Amino acid sequence: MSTSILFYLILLIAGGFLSYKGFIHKNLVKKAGSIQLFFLYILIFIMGLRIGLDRKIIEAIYSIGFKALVYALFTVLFSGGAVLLTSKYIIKSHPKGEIENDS
Amino acid sequence: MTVKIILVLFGGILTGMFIFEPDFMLKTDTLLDVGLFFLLFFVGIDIGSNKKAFDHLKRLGFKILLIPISAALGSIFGGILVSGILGMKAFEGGAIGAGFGWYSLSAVLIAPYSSELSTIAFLTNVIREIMAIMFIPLTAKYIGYYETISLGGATSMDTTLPIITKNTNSETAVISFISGLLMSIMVPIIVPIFISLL
Repeated sequence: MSTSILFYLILLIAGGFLSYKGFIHKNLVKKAGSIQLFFLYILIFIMGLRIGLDRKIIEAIYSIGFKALVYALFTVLFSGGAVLLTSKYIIKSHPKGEIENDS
Repeated sequence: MTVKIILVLFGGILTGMFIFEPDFMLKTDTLLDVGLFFLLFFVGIDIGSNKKAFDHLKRLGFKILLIPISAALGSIFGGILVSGILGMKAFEGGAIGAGFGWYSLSAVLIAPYSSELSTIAFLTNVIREIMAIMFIPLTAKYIGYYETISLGGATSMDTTLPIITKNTNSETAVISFISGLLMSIMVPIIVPIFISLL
């Protein structure tokens, strides 16, 4: 996991640095969004595949699915709520809305 | 986008359940890594091409660290609250909440204490990741960009980062990576603390 994290960081910084310095062709920068989307759907499919392949998950859904669902809902809601309050009242920056085409 | 994401996700789940054998799982590790490597490189290109984002990040400074900290505290509090509702021990709920969506690690860390709690943690964090994939676009549109990071939790640095990037802005993408990294570091520290208190 730690090696993967290091690779993620290196690739993210490499892409950012090359693009920031203007070493990436304009057309590729323009297409970066579409390429991301392509890989995104592949990754989501693989994530789904992994869930479907893991028989433990499928079996667990029947036995403790309700408890897990309640935990997932509450952890997400309270986590989001805490971030909402922090960004509005402490950071005082709270962007939202349609996707900003700032690239 | 949300509908497409849900269709692709459930397409993957059904394919995994009915077409492939469980031993195909090992191959998906490599596929996931390669896909993520490409994706993060292009996310980097997207971020780097937007110079405004860096200026804004400089202005926010260390305040951005408050996002993963508040997301973590909220998640743990939510877990403790549910444990009260379901009649479980408070620290059990804290341990589940402190998984921050990293289902494999949180389940492994809890397993020596209780296999049932470990399974609940595992499934909770799987559901959390599915919810993140499905609701990040709507959260960005109607609630806020930074709240998408709390949905992703520890995964906001890898698997859910591309969805956050596509639905927010470059500045949020950078904060998302930093937050995901910090929350990933917190999981193996905080979960064992809660377990030791049981």
